[in-house]
Amino acid sequence: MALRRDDWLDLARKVDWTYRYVDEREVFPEAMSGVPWLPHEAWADWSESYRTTYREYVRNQSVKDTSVLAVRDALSKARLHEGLDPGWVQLVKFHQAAFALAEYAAALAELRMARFGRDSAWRVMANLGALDEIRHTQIPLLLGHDLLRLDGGFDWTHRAFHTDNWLMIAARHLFDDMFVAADAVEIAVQLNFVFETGFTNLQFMALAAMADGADHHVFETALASIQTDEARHAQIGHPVLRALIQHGGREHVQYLLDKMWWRSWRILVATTGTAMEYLTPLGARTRSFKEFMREWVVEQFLRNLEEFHLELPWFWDLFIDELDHAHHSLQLGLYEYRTLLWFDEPTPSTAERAWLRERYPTWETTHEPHWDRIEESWAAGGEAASMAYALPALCNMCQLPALFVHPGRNTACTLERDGRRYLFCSAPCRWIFEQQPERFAAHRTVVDRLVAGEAPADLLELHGWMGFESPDEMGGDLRRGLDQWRFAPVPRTGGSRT
Amino acid sequence: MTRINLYGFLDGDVLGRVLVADDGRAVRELADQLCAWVPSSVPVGGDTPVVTDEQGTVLDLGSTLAEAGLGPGDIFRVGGVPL
Repeated sequence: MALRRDDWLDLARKVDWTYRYVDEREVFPEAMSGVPWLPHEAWADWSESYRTTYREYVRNQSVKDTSVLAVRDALSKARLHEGLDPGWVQLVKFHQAAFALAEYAAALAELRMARFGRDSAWRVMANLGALDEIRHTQIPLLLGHDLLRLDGGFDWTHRAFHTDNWLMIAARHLFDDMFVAADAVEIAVQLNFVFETGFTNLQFMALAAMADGADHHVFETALASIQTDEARHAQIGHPVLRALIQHGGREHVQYLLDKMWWRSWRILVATTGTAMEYLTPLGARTRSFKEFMREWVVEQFLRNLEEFHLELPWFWDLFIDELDHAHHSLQLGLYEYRTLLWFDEPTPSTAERAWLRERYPTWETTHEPHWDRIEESWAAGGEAASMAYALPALCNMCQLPALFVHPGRNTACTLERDGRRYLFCSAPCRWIFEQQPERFAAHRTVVDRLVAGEAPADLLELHGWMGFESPDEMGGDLRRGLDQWRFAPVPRTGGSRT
Repeated sequence: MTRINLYGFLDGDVLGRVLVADDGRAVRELADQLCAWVPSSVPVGGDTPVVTDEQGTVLDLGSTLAEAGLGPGDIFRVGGVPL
């Protein structure tokens, strides 16, 4: 008679060897497994709620993949993207490029835990997590390939992560810190607990809801499917935190959590915040970015903190203040420097302005006047007048433009170390640098490289240096500066590049 | 004279900007350049620009960058730009 699942599962998941010829510390060196280093007894109770077997995993994933492919087939590949809103097409181009290969990097992180995680159940779960992340690379690459017939810019789905485009440098800098150059404990806290438990609901489920509203159902299905994987392997974080806190690691956990909360927030401002509020068609916006953050991210995070009796990050007040403003400031920067992006950026229409005023009561005074100025510049001097002459000042930690929290509140600061002055967008970014200066000091922002002559100062050459193979690939004004754009609908021809 | 890179933050702007300038240039010229280079900046009022360093010290508009103590990688802030 076959054993029931629960009769053999624990035995299969808990295969931890007793080492006779090597020391446990040699098998799980601190540099790879993490600190505080604890003997296996401290990890022996490691468990999570999914307790998935490999057979179940293969069956479940097969069903999920079939669902995604069925939607793709049902919509007929040739007509998958007809009628999509032009702004939404740019959002998808942005999102796919920013995350497709980052997911592949995350597979390496899961595999590091699959080898150096301190309990076999952790290692089993991480093994499945690695397979998840490979899937999360393959799906956007497939959908990006489908979209090539609509817009050649979707080549960036695969290419972006390999370029020195400034935005991708920011993404790589974060993901290297979060999980590529991290030990098993750091990965579990930073990637699984903070980023995946904290932020991927926003990144995938909120965006899936918007994709539904934008009638992009294959993207919606893919995002929702990916999130079911994330929800499972994100569970690695909780039992790791529990063991660390029970055995003297509370201070280290709090540090990793504070650091990665801020860093995750910064990349979400740049990617999700701007895209939700400026590239998503009005009819598809179920909530504002701020509302999503409060309901889906902050509330969940506060519950997690409470569960482990952890403290709010020390910069919490600044974070809350930024919810109203930061992505609006960065959006102006993305628009002004749009030729350095691989997707187009819009100016908000009359209806979108009204929506922003309603959702962000201070937007009318803090950010709308800047869009007025840009429109005036367009009218007076054409497109060239609507772009900034000076380079943006980039933060030496997040690699993003040093933005004002809102006009009148500038948080930029500097730090001198070994004869070099570093610029930071905010005190949290400087604090992260100060905790491990040897980890971050050698890195140069794009601006540092330009000033040092390591990157070309000529704009056309700089575009090539950032990975653009032709002017057609560079971002522009979504509506191409049409005089009547605020009064006439944008042509729904399926994207800006034909 | 030495060319230095500075980070300018204009009240009424939303991002910091990079300016490369000779350290013999006047502080006032640097402030004017920053104002002219930002298409989306919003005038914040005042008759004369007020330029401060990172510590909030008000800089003499007539002094050179070197005399004002601004060196490579320093922050300066510009407020009170004429309407």
